[in-house]
Amino acid sequence: MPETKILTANLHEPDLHTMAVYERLGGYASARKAVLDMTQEDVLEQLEASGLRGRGGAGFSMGKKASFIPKGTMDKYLCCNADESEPGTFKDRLLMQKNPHQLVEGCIIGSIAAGANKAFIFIRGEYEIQAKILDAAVEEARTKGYLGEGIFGSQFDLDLVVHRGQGAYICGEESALLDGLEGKRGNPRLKPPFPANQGLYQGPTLINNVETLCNTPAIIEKGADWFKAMGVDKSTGTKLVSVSGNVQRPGNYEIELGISIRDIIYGIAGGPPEGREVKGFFPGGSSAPVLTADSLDLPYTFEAMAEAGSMLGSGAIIVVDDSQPIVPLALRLAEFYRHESCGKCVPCREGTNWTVKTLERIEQGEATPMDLEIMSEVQENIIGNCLCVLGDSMAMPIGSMIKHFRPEFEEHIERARADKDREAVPALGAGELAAVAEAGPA
Amino acid sequence: MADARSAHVPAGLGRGQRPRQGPRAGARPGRGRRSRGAAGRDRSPPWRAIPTRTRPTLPALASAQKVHGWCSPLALHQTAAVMQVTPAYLSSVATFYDMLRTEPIGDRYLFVCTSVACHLRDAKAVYEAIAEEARDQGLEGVDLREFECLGACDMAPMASIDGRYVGPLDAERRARADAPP
Repeated sequence: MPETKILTANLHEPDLHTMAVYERLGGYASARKAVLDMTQEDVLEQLEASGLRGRGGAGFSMGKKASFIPKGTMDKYLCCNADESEPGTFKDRLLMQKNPHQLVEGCIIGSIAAGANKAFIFIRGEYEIQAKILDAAVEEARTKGYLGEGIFGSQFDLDLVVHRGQGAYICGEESALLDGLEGKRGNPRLKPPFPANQGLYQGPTLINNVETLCNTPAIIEKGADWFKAMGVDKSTGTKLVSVSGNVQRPGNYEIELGISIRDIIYGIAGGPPEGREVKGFFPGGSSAPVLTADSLDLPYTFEAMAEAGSMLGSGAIIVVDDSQPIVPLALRLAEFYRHESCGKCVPCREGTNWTVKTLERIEQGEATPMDLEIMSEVQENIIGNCLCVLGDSMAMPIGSMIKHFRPEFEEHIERARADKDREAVPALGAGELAAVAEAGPA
Repeated sequence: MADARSAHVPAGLGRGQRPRQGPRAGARPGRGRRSRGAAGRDRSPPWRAIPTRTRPTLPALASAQKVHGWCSPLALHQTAAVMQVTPAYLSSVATFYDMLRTEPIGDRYLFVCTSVACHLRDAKAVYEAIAEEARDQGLEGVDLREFECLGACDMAPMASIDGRYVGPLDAERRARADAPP
């Protein structure tokens, strides 16, 4: 299975993380071109024409988002979202660890597009090694005059700071990221106003994912048409897909958008272990609604995933095989979102809590079929009712699991309750036993 | 920050209007003009309201934790004194973020990922094996806990020892993960 390479083109080159090797392979030529030979409008036009969509999860057109930044001489900011915390996603870790200069170059080009003079890479605190590697790369770029005052000898100034998070999934949400960067608890903000107008320190801010920015050097070098020639019409280019879960070869694979999911899961990642079948999979990280084996032949594009009732999201495919019971998986998922909820909005804070409690009751045999209905209702009450989509990110997958695997949930409820009743019985004396039998099921 | 005006007119107010603030020396009431401080800088509330002292909070707390081993009351008081913010503010931030320890559990960490992708590969069993081994060894000074997705699902199930990722682990290979580097 041929894999197209933009992002991972030189990945196996030794010492690619050093300036010397990166430049020898043509690095920073695009940044130089964007700074010295192109106007901001040129850069924006190329990025928008290429059809590059956000690679962090939302999939919004990068060029369009960059064009929302207002003109003016105020401080403007570029934030690179390197807080990769979506379960199942580990693509940015690879990009930052092996090819940090590609990201630095992407930040320079993104800053030209936005007109930004200060850039930040907000990297999750758990990526300690990757943060150190990035620090070293930024220092090399600064020494060479690619960052700082008058980059590449032009009149543009650009400061780039690597800022570590300290462990919060919610800081991957763009407005919560801004709060984290400002030194506060990571609470999302009401939007509008959008970060393009009032973002970091209330100034105009462009926020982009690592992979999105890493695509920009190639687009500037080879042009929008070259990028558009890959993929399909509304999902152009390549995607670095992180495949994990019950597969034989989990890992990061750069694919052209549009190939079928079966090709990714079975072809590239080797499929589930011998003798097992795909029960379901998350096409876009754990926040994406689950799809079943029926959807395996769909093309992996933003539109096809949305049409199928799910999302491409961060491009992380988590595969669940038929040996996995669904209820513990749902519980583990809900616990993640309950833990990571910032607590600001009632539907999310209470809804995640409620969902975990209900799933625990199901696991422990204290639930009835009515609890399944209540859980579905709780998910409905969360979606669309909060400042950010963390609550939705739990509600949609849980809702999809109940939809696709309802019989398994119901069977689990009955079986667990029967087990619990059976355990309770020996503890009762004969008289009590009769009373329990008369009272009927709990 | 030269041209603040275009970005910071609060919603609902037109140009030249400001929210009421009371009389100011040198202001000319009734003219509808935005009054300016002596330096000619825009003094509209949104700018003044933005705290700048809190900006380095996350790196500051991380550094304090490196020195003290955890975000202890002493660590927070010292950091607050340097940053000129209140200890309560720092406490609110420290209690929010998972990597900032607000209890003296240890100055090194061993996070075992038990999130979705690792869960599908028996991470819970690995965590329990490591926890049991830690108890048997009488391991101290190490913050050992289950953690959410560490972004290494390609080596699931895995753990992070002070930022060093080890995996794939299984219940038998836990002893290797326990060995301090």
